[in-house]
Amino acid sequence: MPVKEIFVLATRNVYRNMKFVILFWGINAAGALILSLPIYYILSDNLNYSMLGQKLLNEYDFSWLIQLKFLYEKNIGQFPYLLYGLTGIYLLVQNFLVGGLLAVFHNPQKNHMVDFFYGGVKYWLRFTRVLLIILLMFFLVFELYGYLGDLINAYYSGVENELGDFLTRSFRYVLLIFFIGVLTIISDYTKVSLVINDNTEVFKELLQILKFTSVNFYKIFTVFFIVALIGAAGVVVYNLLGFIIPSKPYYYLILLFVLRQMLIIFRLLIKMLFYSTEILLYKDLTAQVVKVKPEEKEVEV
Amino acid sequence: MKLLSFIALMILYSGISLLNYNLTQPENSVDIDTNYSCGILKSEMGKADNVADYSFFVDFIPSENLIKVKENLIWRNKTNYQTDEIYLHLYANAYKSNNTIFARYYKLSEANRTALQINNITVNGKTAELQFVVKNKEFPQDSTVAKLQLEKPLMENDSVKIQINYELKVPVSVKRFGKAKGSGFYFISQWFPKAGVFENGKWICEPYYPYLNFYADFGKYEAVIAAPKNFKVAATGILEKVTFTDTANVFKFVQNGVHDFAWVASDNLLQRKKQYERKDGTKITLNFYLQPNRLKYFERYASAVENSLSFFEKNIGIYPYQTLSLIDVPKTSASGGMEYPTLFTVSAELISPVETHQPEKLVAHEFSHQYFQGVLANNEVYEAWLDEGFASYTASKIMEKFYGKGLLHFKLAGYFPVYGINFLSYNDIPVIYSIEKIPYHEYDRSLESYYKNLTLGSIADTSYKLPNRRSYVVNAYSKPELMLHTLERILGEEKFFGILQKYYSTYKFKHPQGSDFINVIKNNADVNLDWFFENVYKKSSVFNYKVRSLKKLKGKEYQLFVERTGEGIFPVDIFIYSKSDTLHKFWDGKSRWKIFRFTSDEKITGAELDPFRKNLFDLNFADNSILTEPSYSASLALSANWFFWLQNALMIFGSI
Repeated sequence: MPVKEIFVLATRNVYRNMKFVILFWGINAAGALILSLPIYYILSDNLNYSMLGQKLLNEYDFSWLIQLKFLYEKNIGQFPYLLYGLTGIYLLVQNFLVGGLLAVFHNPQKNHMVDFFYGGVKYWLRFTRVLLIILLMFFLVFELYGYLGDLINAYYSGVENELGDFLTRSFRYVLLIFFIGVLTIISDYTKVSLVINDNTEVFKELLQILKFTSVNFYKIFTVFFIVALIGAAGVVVYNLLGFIIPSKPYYYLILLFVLRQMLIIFRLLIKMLFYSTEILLYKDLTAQVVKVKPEEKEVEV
Repeated sequence: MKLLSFIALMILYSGISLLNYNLTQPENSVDIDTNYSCGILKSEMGKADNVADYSFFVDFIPSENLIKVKENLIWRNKTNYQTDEIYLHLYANAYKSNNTIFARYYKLSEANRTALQINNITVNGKTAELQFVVKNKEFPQDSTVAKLQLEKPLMENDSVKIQINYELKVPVSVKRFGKAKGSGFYFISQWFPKAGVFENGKWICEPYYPYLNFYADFGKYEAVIAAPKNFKVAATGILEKVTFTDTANVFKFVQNGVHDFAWVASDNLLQRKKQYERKDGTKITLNFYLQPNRLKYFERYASAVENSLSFFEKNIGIYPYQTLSLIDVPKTSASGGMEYPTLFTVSAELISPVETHQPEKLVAHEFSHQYFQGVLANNEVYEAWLDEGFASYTASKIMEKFYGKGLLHFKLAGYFPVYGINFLSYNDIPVIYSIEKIPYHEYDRSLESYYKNLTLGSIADTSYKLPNRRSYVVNAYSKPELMLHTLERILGEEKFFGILQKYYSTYKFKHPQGSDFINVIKNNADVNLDWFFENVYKKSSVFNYKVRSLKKLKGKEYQLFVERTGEGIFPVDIFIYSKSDTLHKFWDGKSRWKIFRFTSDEKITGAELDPFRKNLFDLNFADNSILTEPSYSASLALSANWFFWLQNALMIFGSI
């Protein structure tokens, strides 16, 4: 199937199932809200009765931020743990949603909410196993990234070559981003294959996907890259609009908030587009080609 | 036709001659200016009271990483006390082993080690013996201080001549002194036996402490340095003469009225020159020695130096020397961001937009040391704040005046500056971040540093006795900078600069102490500032003033309840706001709390303590004010930002 056709069909698929983006957005917003509450509490405590709040709306005051971090050091210090803890829960919920979404994408005729939740329940455990394996792979990639950093430090501490240092570090960074992309692709396609093949053997599917991605890497990565570019274009448009919206008076912030939520929803739709293209691509690339020899028979009339 | 050909040939010849002149003109051209004598303005000559004069004959042998030195030191007793010994700093011995005080912080590998190999030493022509002095019993093997016993005591105005022949291996640089790894760049500082300071009948000669600096008397320095022909040499002072032998170029540097001498030799260093003209028309030669890959920073370096000179000339006093050299050092030299008389070292990031204020702020800071420590030669081992704090303060002022506010930024992949704040990252991947142009105050970094060490040590504490590096940094750099900004806010900029001028003119070429500066302030401030120095300088008092409540009583009567929750006392202005008016009150801030009752025809909307944020030490600017009606817009708006950043973070994690 040509890439163009994949995009047409995938976009159509996303369009038909757009209602599910509300679930993704709702979970995302709920997670962010839970994490924002401690910060809101800190800010309320610090600013609600202070004239500084009004000044901050007009001009950012970095001295205030430094003080805030100092005054609420303990609360803020605990925030990363809260974030990572909630991220764990968020990922588990995401598995449920992605399971439902992939089930719907796999069988577009069955896209009722009930089908979505059925898929979510059905694939949750399998996806959770995939998640654990992928997290381990991420851990290994980051470890490697760390060792590479140590090697670069050790080498360039004895060599006066700033440009070389810069290029090596940049390459290392790009490599990290690339591997994050690759692992994301592997994770996504493993989930896709688990749904399409309705298999419970996660390891087997993962190994098969490793083989599949290496064989079809060019096409897979091209599609992935194009979707990512569409997502990036959305971010650029958001930033352009963000510049236009004035920061004061403060009620313009409501407009900014709406714009930001539009961006989040757009990005979630892009995520759906990823899955949709992946389902189509996987089906296409793994489809068995049956060679049929046409035969002419004489038929008596 | 012949005429035309002749003219064309003449033009061609002139062009080639001019080009040839530029090419053959030695970059180390000799500095001659009749307004100066030995590198110092003639008008400033008598002000520098030379105690220790040095002359060096240096043979620099890079193939062996070695310098061979003949040093002559003439030391004069300019005090009323007599002495029968001369104390010497042997700073280079700090790199001898891992048992020195210096090595507490900088672990030395074999390549980083060196020590002075003294071949012979004479006092007034007679061979003498050096005795090492252990100043710190925890480090008996530290040999950075030594003394010479004299045959007879030196009375007032007596002098002694000391000659020392020695060799010194130039180590791979670990800090300040040595050869930069992977390049032919040698930075030679703290290299020569140097007299301590004889003060009030006692020798002040402290060991080489890690991260602390130095203390020495003024004198005249002459150095003749022979280096291979492919090496460029830069040094403290003016280049008086260059002679060329078959194998070496011999540079003679001279400088009067300074208290240290550092030099640089490199086989790959570009030189650019500029001139700065003072208001009186006299000129300062600005030398820029640059790493070839940082030539692009030349104009920015030059502009930062010129702006700094202009700031000081206008607000504090003139730079008294003939030359000023900026040395752009390689990253591996570990000698960047350090000051020496008429010379300082800097370096710049590979990618550094002007809005990041680097390298400009570093240049402004190191330049400021030409005044604070260079000309006002305080004891940096005892009172480091007198130079580091002042240099931090003046660098901030220079940046504010010439460059405006800098923009907050963080770096991607260690190099790419991104404007905004990175709140949380995982393995170099920003997770919660904001990308926007956020300006900061120059003192913000000091504020951040101060909050990391509120009470351990005070500015008045002896620097080398402070218990750790953080305490040192806070009490030598951050707190003094904040103290000077706060003083400026109390007195007003014009008045404060006037006092700095007075301080500079009174103590130039002398050894001012903290008490001297405080006395200049007290004598010129027109207001009593004892409370300020008591709280900020002597003690490590913590300040916080807050408005506890503002409420309406009966009729038009209101009550304002203010509180002092910190130990520190700071008189504060109070503004009480109604819709169209502002009522001004004053509180001496001494009591733990105070209640003000007042009447107002108009409805009172809020009150604010210290409305002009004079007291930068106040721990919570937010509770300095109160609104009668709460306003949720700021906390909601900021939380909404945070909410969006978290949505992004969750999306990043959710894509696993």
